[in-house]
Amino acid sequence: MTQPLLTVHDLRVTFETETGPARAVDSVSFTLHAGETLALVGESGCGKTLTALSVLQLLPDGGHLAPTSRITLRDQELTELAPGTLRGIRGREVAMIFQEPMAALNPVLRIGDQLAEVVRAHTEASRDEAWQRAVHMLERVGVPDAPLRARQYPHELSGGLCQRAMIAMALLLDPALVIADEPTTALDVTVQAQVLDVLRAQRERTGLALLLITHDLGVVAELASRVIVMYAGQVVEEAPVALLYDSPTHPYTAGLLAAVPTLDVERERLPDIPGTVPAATAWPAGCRFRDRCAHAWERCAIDAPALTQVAPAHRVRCHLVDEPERRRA
Amino acid sequence: MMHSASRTTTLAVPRAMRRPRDRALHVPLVAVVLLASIAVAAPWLAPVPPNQIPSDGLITASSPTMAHPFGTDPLGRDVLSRVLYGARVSLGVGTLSVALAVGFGGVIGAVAGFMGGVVDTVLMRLVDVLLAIPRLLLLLVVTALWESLPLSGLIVLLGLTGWYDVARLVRADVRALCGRDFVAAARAAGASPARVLWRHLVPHLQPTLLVLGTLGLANAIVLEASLSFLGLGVQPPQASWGSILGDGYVPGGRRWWLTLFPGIAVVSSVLTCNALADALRRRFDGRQVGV
Amino acid sequence: MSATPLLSVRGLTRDFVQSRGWWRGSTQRVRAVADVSFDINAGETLALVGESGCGKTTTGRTILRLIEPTSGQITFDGDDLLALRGEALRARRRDLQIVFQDPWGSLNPRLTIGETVKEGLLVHRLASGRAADARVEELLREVGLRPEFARRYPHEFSGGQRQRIGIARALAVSPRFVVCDEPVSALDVSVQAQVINLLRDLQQRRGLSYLFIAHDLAVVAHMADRVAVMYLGRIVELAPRRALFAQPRMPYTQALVSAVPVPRPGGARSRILLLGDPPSPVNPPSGCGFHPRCFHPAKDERCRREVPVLEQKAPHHWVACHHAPVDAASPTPSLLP
Repeated sequence: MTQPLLTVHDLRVTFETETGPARAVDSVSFTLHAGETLALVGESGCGKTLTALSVLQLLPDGGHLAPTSRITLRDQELTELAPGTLRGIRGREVAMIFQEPMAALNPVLRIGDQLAEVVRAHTEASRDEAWQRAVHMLERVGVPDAPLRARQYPHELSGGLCQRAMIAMALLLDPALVIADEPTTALDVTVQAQVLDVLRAQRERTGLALLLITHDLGVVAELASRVIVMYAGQVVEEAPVALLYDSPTHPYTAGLLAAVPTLDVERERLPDIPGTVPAATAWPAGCRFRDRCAHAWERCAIDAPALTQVAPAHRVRCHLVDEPERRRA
Repeated sequence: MMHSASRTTTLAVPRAMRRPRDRALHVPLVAVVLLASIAVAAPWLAPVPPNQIPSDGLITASSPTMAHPFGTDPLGRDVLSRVLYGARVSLGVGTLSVALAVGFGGVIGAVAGFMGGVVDTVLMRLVDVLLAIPRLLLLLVVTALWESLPLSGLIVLLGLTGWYDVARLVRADVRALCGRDFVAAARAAGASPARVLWRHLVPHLQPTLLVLGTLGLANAIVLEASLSFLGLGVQPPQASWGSILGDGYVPGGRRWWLTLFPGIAVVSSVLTCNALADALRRRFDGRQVGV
Repeated sequence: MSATPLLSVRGLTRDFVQSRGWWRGSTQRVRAVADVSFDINAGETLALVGESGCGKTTTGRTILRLIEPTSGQITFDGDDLLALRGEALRARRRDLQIVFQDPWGSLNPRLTIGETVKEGLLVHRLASGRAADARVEELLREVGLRPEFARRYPHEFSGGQRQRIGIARALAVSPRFVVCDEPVSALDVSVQAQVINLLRDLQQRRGLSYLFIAHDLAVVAHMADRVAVMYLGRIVELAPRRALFAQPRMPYTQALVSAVPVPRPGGARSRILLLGDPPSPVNPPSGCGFHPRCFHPAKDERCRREVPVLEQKAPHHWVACHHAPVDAASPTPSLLP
């Protein structure tokens, strides 16, 4: 087994709020190997975005990483790096793609300039060389008329083009790891298809590892090789993508998959998950999903289930693993 | 114009997870209340009547002594008393003129923003024209020409020259609000324009008006002091911080007590108002739903 | 299908005027909605789908006269909606309501949700005082919320709950027709399912008709009886749900259907990848708005010159495309009456 590219161990992120500390990310651990695409899936408030931001130490104001959390890139411990060294890694080894393309680009700089800036920040390239590399990368991600577009400002580009520009910016220095936070959520569906295609093509060319944050189970099915499902700040299931979709073990995963509307299904009632996510300031005792779970029994209210390995590469956090007979039909 | 723009923000930190509100609002608020209390309580705090010219003794400006902690002005009047009574004038004129400005400007701005079209254009061009006239110059000219200006006249004058910014900002707020879905929802429910304006738009103007009001108050205090300093604002023998400053004006700083004490009064009032405005703005920034 | 449709829209057009500055010519007309026509029958759901800039939201709001159309005809229950003014229009608003997309912006943050839901009742004098409060509690229960929530403020609720409140508000005046403007786009998957189910239940229970505006075809598949696809302000295809998804005839619809990600690994159907981005209505292409991105093998000069008209190519299946096949069994191609 090759050495993992990224190891996240016991990641805990807390926020100070008016009503007390909120444990937004509660002991999340996973590994990512080169060439793999790992999807972090979950709904609002599950902690997936914060998890991704933690990797690059980009937590928003008020967020604290617990001292026991470990984020290791190859053999470098990211939590212990000096800010300067960390900056060197950001953009070069690890790059990030954000959700709102037009918001993530500087509106007063031309696209080409922004890309060139990344090159010049990390290499000795001259102005011209950096520009050339920028234009070249824009072409590679499928931006038509790249030399022209590079001279334009973000507001002159459509959402899809901006997103591709952002992907170009992320891929410029050939990073080993790309973190994509909801890269297609803000895009129209036909544009989304194009962008997914670009990501796939780049992945094939460079063998980069992709950490994909999303709530869209369709996008996950298309891009990911492994999936981690998060709920209420915890990992509730982790499995290879085919296994997850075929036979989800955790009731939340099953509920989520069942609740996704699809074109092929005949029009009937969509199975939904009753209730809402509990507040991060007051996680319930025991299993955090129990109030919404169809299979819950007394144990679930008292005992918090641990993440258990049920098969190679398949982990589940649920008491049904121990007591499968409790699963209701 | 992308669909689902509000889907999730990149940093999906739910509202409950933001930093606790800092307590910065309390300090300026207490300071303002303190100032206002001093002004109201002037008759009880002042050792002697402010306009009392000593029947005995020298009719001259003298430096601070035990009897006159802030010294006396050229007519022998106790400066401490005059500063205390001056607070009533300065703060009173300031507050009333600002109330007038905010009220008038708020109405103009709301009407312009809500009705749009020709009404909006006409009103805003009027504001543009009025803004082109320098406020201080206008005030100087009017007060110079107006023989013995009464206090109410000064208030009205300050008020009617200070509403332009309020109108513009309120108009911008109203226009932004009109585009919000909850306003469309009210219209869809069948609410009349008056109801929409009163029930849905005006309550959201509070933050803007409050902040503009406190800032305007700071400005008004300075303007009144300036005018009185030149002898054009508050008329003698009435004390105002500006007039005390004016009486003391002698090159060379020989009568420093006539500059220092009213000066501190003006500066501290203005700083307090600005601090309050700032704290209010910060408080509302966190609370407002994106107006 | 009932004899007369509940809502009938003909030739609806909405232009926006943008001033472009002194040196570029003073104004520019942007046609957000162009000649849109459709009918909705009582109890039916017509979905309006399309991507950004296609004009679907503008269409929805225009029908309610939240935006005024530039031209066209809107007939509701036999009455000409566009002829109504002032009091008469406000009175009519009882019958036509709207649920908004943004759960965070559609509720006045300074009013309790009880006051928000109550507004329609008060304005139309349907109830007042204690009776109105009781009605509000009933409505909250109907949308799956606890009645005591009436005293709370919007910020205390989640996105899904706020959407329910918005639905309760729309239902307060007992409308017959509701425009659902992307009601679930801003919601999480599990919450989305809840709200979709709620909307369907309400439709069955109250006999509502919906104009369901969405960009997510999968959601539409669960809600709609018929689907209209919009592109650059025009309807380019209109068909019953099954027919549209099984046999889309307009190339854009085909691309749209194939672009929907399938939540099944390896389940992606052969995907049509369109070149370029959805155009903006500010500078529309000549002739058929889709022609620059169209991949139809028979695309020709006519596509570049002539705007295709919405014609019936199969029973109940209308397409705006010069080259879409006509079914032999269908009546002679005719325009939407």
